[in-house]
Order: sequence, then structure tokens, then C-alpha cells
Amino acid sequence: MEENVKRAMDDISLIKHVIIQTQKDFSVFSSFFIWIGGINFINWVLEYSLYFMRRVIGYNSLYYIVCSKIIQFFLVISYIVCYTYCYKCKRNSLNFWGSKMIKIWGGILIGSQFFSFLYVNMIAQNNSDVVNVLWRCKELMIIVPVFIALFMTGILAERRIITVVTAIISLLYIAMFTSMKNINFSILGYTKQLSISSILINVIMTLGMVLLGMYLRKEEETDGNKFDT
Amino acid sequence: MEISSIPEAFQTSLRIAILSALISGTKTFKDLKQITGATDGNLGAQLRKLEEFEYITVNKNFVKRKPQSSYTITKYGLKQFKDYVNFLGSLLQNYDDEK
Repeated sequence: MEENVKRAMDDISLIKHVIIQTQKDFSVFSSFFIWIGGINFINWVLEYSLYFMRRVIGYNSLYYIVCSKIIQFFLVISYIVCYTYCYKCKRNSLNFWGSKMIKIWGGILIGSQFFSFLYVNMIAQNNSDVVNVLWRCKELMIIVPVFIALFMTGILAERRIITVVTAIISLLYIAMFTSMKNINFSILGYTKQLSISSILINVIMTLGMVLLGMYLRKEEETDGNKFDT
Repeated sequence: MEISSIPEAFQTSLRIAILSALISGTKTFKDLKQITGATDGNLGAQLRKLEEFEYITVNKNFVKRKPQSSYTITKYGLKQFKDYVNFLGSLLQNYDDEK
């Protein structure tokens, strides 16, 4: 009898271990999105501060040149730090599913920054209409992989709401991008012209990511996709 | 279910681990290898056995010109797995009651 009980306990602990490994655990994954949202918000504030700094102290100021170089790489470095922290340092809290999803998102966010950097450096430096259109297309390098990753997240997490919201936002983005409309953004007496599609990208990458993280955290708390172990 | 009548599918821990992993959905051979930490030969043999018992089904296709097998638990396999977990639970409950 003792032997049977020992075997039963071993089997139960094995089943629990494997199920915990393979269930859709959103814990680290939800924090990852909240951090990505935070990083993009800081980047947004830094970019606009840089813009106003340029207006105040001029293009040729040493401070401006140094700050612009730092801010240029802020996003990609922050993504690498965030990915490394989630994937390496939180490895013990990540299960099989979570680690796959973090890998996909890390690859897409860091990869899109890398390709957008290459793209910007390959565009000819003149002021023709073609070059202006190519500059506008830079944002596609960033947002299209994010849309693909969001669709994948919705499908793999089996959360239809993520897929549907991503589809709606994608259509909205296409409409905004093709309309090529700009609006004036004023702060501290300075005005900057922004395309409405770039504003939507900022909203998706800041507020959108934070909301997605909070949604996944809520799902985690309500044991949305967990098996009763 | 009685001790003497535990299906053969649950008589090795690797088979139990495979079935537990498939509860959350279809997995490829590579996924199962990563989850169970088993060797290719042992994992392949146990998967074939489970397929023979009709606990799992295999879908073979090509991904980037390389063969890829993905495994899914069948309704019968899921029912047997649930029965086995319930049996383990009742075994431990009886042991606690006797104590």
C-alpha cells in the first residue's frame, strides 16, 4: 500500500510539474508589456524634449548632438535590457509557453528597431518627394511587426479580444497612414507638425502596451487559462 | 480503476509526462523533448506506444523542407487521463482516511 501511495504522489507531482510548465502563464509576460509601454512613454517624452531643446539651443550645440545620439539608441537598448531581464533573470518564473512568447516579442521589437535603423541610414539624403515618402514609410518598419506579433499573441493566448482589437487598430492605422493628414502639436509655445498615423503608433506603443499588460495580468489573476493543478 | 488495472499508458513516468504536456494543446516532437528532457530514441518509442494505444494522434508534415511531427491527445486519451488522475486522487484520499 505504502508503495502505491508513494507512486501516486510521484505521478501527481510529475503531472502538476508538466502542466504548470505548459499552461499559458501570463505573469512575466504581462509585466513585459507594461515595461514596454513605460519605455516607449519615456522615449516619447525624451524625443519631444529633444525637439524643444533643438529649438532653444540650436542644431549645432554640443549638448544637443550628445543628447540626440543617446536618445537615438535609448529605445533599442531599453528593449534589450527589458528582454534580457524577462528572459534571463526571470527564467525560473517563465514556463515553456511564456518563454516562447517573450522570445517572439523580444525578436520583433529589437529586430524592428534594428531594421528601421538600417532603413533610415540607407535613405538618400535630399529633399525630394520620393525621399519624403520613404521617410514616412519608416514607421511601417516599426508598427507592422508589432501588429503581426499582436495577432500571434491573440491567437496563441486564445484571447479573441486581442485579435479583434488588433484587427480594428490595424484598419484604423491603414486609414490614417494613407490619408497622410498632419496635425499641429503645440507645447510651451513651440509647434510641431505630426502625422496622425505617428500619433496612433505612439498611443499603441505606450497606452496600448500598458493596457495589454494589465489585461493579461487580470486574466492571470482570474486563472483564465490555467488548469486546476 | 484498480491498481491492477492501471492502463499500460500510465506505467512509465515519461508517458504520463507526455500526456500531461498534451493537455494544453498540440505539441511538436521538439517541444515534447524540451518539456520532458527525454532522449530522441526514448521519446519516439513512448510516443509510438501512446499512438498504438490510441491515446494520441500524430500529424506529419514538412516545415522548411524538414519533416515535423506534431502530437495531439485524443478524446479517449483525455478521458483515460482524467480517470487516472481521479484514481490517484481517490487512492491518496483512502490512504488519508485509513490513517
